[in-house]
Amino acid sequence: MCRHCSVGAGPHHNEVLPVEYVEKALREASDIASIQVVVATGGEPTLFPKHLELLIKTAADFGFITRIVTNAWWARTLEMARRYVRRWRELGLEELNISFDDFHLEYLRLFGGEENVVNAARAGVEEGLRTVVAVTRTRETKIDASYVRKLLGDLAGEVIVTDDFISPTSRASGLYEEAVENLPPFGGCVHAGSEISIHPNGDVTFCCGHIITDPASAWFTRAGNITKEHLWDVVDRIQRNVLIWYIRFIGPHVLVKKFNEEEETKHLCHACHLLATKYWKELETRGKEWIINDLKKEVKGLNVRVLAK
Amino acid sequence: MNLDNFLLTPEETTNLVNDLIPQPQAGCTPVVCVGVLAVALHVVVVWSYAVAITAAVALQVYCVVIGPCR
Repeated sequence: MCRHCSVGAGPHHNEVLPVEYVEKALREASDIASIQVVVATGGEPTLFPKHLELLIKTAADFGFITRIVTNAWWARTLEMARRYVRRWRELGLEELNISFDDFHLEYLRLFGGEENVVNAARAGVEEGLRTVVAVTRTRETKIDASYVRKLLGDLAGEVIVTDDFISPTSRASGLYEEAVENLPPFGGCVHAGSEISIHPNGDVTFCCGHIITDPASAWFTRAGNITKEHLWDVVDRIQRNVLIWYIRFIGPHVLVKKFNEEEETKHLCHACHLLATKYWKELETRGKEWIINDLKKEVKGLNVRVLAK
Repeated sequence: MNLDNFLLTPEETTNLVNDLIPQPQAGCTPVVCVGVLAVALHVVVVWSYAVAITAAVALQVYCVVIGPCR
């Protein structure tokens, strides 16, 4: 299993959101104008082909932009890659996001190797999909964006290649020492409150939801459950939650520092994980009023710092 | 511990939004700005540059420090 996986995915996790709730979530999301993109991710969403195809087709029919995130295990040859991608495109897929780095490559070799990435990207470009290769790094890894651009050769100009750094949470906590500190200089997490993710058990999180797979920190990002309520109600609560406002505008790492000046945070998800597991008592004791007042103070300070910059 | 412990009531939401997003002060309208600009231009055209600059600075100080743009 990939050592850097911050959601702890692997063969022991074979749960998937039941079909009726996939349809329910998409139907309810279609009534929320600010939701425009639907992403199938995992783990590896292509391991559940029926669910994936239903998701792409239904989401496209509702008018969403559709994206899948995959490790390209299915692209050993260009012909195989074309067959998969053509099928998804016919169902309505618009974006193909390929995850590739040192950690994925260890296992991708079982299904081919780095050539899979080139085949998948070529098939994506040929089918007119917006194609992305996303690299996750630590200070020790050798694959980065420039490595991928060289690998892609003539495709490099047509494929978006992104660099990101691991969040040392879940299985990736073992890579804490080699994780690069990756925190925004100003402001907080742009994902908080602007993205939701729906998990196999129906839990809805207020962000990409990386830390929810750790039972100890699940409470922190769980905003509701699609099997028990309307998505509107969950989104309404997300929009009225002042802790989420704080995480978005100021950042969870700022809160962590207030609770313990000595604590080191390497990534925004890592900071949320610490708040959920190590500093939850601080949050509980200080409560909502403290968060409201501190948010006001920090926003004033943030304005001054941005102007000074 | 529950995330819903941090839910805002509708009243708290309104108050917080008003606190975080500076609201225009009463009287700080385009009409006032255009009026101020008109006076400054009139001063430039009719009187000397020295008087114009002094008047413009005085108007700015008024607007920013104690006036409608505060």
